[in-house]
Amino acid sequence: MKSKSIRLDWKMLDCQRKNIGWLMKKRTYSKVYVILVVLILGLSACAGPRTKDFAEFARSGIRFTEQTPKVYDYAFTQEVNADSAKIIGDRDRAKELGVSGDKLAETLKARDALFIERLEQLNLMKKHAILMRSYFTVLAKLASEENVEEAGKAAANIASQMESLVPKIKTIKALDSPISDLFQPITKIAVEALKNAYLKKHLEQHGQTIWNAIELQRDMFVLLLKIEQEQDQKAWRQREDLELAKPLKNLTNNLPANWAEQRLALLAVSPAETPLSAAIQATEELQQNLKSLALNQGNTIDKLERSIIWIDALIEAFGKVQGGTKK
Amino acid sequence: MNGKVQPSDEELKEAKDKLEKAKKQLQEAERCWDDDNFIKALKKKKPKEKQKAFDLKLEIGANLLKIENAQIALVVGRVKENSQQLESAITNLGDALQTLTNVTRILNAIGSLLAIVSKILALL
Repeated sequence: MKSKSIRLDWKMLDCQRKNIGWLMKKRTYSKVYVILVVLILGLSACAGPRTKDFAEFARSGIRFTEQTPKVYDYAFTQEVNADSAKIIGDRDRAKELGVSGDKLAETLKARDALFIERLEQLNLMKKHAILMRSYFTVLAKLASEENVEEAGKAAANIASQMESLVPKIKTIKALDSPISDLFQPITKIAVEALKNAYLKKHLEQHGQTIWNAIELQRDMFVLLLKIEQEQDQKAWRQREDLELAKPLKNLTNNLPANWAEQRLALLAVSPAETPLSAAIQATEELQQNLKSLALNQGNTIDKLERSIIWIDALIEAFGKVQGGTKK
Repeated sequence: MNGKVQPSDEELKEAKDKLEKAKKQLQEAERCWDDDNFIKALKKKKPKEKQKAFDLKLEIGANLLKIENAQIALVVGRVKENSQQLESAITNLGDALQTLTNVTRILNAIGSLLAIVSKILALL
């Protein structure tokens, strides 16, 4: 039984050899076919956004979403510190008016409960940013060169195995090269075209979702910046008055040892530019990147590196102010 | 969607405007305390009245925080739906990635098969 099946296999191989012979006769057809396939695949990949543009967009998204949780941490710290400054101011007012401070303890508890609630809300925004990061990571993986290279290597392996199996295959030529040499580049072009088609379809189907996700983060940053600015002007004046002006005009006592340091720290941060305003700018750049991708203007995609460095620098500058942030 | 009806854009805008209006009123009331004349006048009032005004100021502060939380909640409320859509977008990308991985796997399998055939033939 065994020898019969082997004989049958040999017959099949003989048949394959005959087919190869036929192929050799039809070299011209194969040449035209290869050129056509390469041309069609190449053209289809050229229309619309390129894969490397998707990769660049994904990288800018990863950079942005890595920074986002830090911005929320900053915003929360700022808000709590601003409220603490407000409560300290209220305490001073109570002393000045000669009223009871009983309600101060009550308000502290009520405000802390509200801040716990706010922390939960900001944590949801952080989770959303982390989900966005997962999205950009998968997008970067799909748009990476890695899978094309792997498919190319696998095709090269097939070609080399076929050469060892049927050595005559080396004599079949297309585009002045042995046909087996074209396996790898053609496979790479085909996989690249397939990948690009997936990415374009994905952009059509889910582009709006990504736009909305960035928009939601932007909306939250805009709201938090508004809250910060409303509290800031007041808190800034309050701190200048309490920690700088008050000890200065009191000539009987010595100035606190860190008075000059505190003054510099207060002046070193500008309320006009905070990590939140920088984050808003980053969301706008990311949306612009998505727009550039959809409009096939890949060369205008911004890496977002400057915005991210700026957010980091501002978080650091604000962190140097007493108590971690401006009071 | 948890069976909840999502508010329309108009309803959201209306809620946003109402919160903003209430916030402005509270901020206006709070601003009185920055006025030296107001403090001077208050100092002259009876202790009970001063206490009432001070307690009210503290309540205003807490209510402002409540309004801010409500404003934040309006944005957060839209996050859930978007997160679901994002998850579906991730699945879509994952499927495409899987297809590409399968292409490579099939090519690798063909290569391995050819290698086995080649070895068998060499043995024969």
